[in-house]
Amino acid sequence: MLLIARAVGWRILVAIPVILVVTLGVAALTDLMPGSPGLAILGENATPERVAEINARYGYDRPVFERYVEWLGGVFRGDFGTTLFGNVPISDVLFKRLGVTLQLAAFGIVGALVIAVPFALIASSRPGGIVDRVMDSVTSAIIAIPTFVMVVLMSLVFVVWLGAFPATGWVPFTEDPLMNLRFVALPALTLALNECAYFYRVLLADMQSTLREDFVLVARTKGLPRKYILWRHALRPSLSSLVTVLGLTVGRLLGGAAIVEFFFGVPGLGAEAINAVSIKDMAMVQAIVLLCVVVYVLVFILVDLAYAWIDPRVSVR
Amino acid sequence: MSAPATTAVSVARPRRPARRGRIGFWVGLVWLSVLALGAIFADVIPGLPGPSEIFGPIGSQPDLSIGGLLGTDMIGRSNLSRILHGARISLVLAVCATAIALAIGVTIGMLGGYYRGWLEGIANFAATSLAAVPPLLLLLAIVAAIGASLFGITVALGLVMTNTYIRLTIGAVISNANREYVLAAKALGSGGPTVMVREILPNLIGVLGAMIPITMSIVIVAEGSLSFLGYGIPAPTPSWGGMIAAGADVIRKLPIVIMAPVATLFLTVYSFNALGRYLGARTDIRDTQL
Repeated sequence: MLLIARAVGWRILVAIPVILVVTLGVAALTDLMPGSPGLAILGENATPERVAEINARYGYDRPVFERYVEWLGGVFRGDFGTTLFGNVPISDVLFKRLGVTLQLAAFGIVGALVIAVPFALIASSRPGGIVDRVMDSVTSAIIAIPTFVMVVLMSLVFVVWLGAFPATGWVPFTEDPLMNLRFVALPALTLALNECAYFYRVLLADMQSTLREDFVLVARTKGLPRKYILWRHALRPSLSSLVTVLGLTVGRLLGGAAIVEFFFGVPGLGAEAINAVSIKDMAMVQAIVLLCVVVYVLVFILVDLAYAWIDPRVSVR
Repeated sequence: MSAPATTAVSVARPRRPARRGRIGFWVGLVWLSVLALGAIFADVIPGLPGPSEIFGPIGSQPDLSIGGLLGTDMIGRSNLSRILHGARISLVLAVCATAIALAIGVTIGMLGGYYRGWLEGIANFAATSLAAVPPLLLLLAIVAAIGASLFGITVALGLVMTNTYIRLTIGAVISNANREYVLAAKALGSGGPTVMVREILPNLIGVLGAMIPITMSIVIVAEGSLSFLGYGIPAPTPSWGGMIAAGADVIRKLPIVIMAPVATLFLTVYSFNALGRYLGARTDIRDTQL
């Protein structure tokens, strides 16, 4: 236990420079804006007073480092500044949006696993069989469909043709759980279809090498049923690549579910990021980037710990 | 899982992946060649209207004329012409962004992998930092700051893709650095830069080459995503993502408008992936039997 605590502590320590460099880099982006950031944000028609006010409020009239250190101080007090228009504290907005995105990402990832794992197990047990060959083509096709095409296709099939789900919109789970599920279903299914191809590929490759191991041969000669060998013997030692990909997916979906959220009108972090970029609310962009980096770091600490669970020979250092 | 549990688990023997992906490889190569030729000669193909030219009735079905081969869009422009002109952007972007990622990534990766120590630390740090931000978010942030220009988007995409090459190169260089041919070169008096460029680099071509088509497909999809969201190369330059976004608005009435760019994008991404998979399987020596 102490060992794990030390390992986690060390990883967090190593991650701090990464977090600092990335957020500093995003802070420095505003210096690339043509003219003063205030002018770039408000546009040509803004009054000079308003431009000066924006520049002063976000510190754009001072050097990057000074502005960055001040921002960092605010972050430690839980203060991310306020939104560009409306003066709402950014932390309030982020908190609400994060909940929505986490629900969507969780549903999407679980859905993808439910599709990918059984197919990977069947395909691995019969290499070159019908499932193996069909899934090989299907996953190749899915991987070649970009998310922004997938959302259009899914909406065409499930909304326009079948009329099974509402086209866009959102109701928070706390308000009306049933309506919430109706709204989350289609975006989550879209994410699941997108991700399941990668999960399938990765798990299949690891399963194939696991099934070549001697202990599987032993299990077979003992006469254990195929299903039992696949699920109880072979699956766990084959999870390490899948867990890595899962970690990457969680990190990516936080900001990368943007297109799905944008298209289906889900008020999550990704949709907020797109909105923030469109009105050039750089403080909001900065806060979302910080959140994503922190989550990425935390997820990969969990991934490292998962390796040790998957294969006890791996020691956490 | 409904498969009967009667048959025993068969012991999977290593397949020959190189042969398996061969059809995909050739289909991909032919498609990409046709697309590239079409993009290069888009201006001089006889009978092909310009990308902004009103060519016929809105949303007309494909016919046998050159300009109408893929139908027309919602204001009557030729889909084929817009796709070929959009291909210029997509392909140029794919090549340039990949070249940037390759140049930066391989340089940092080689220095880190060959000299190890603090250089490797810096290389890993750069890769982790780039990987920690969701790529689309980073792209959007960069585009928000410097605006959507072909140059800006190319550089941004190149940077976003760099981390893969840093990681790949470090790993490959480390596994090559203690091989006999490197020792021999060192014994003959070659210095670090010479060994890296003349000896190790040629041995990385297999690993890196398999990644290049994959990167290109990711870049094309990323540019499409940006255009779809309205942050791509500004109008009136046609782009696949922009065509798909426009087609999505009229999908109920004029499905032909979206079908052409979707099919093109699908085939292109599929082709690049098939190329990468085939090359990867060919250069993957893990499954080779001695």
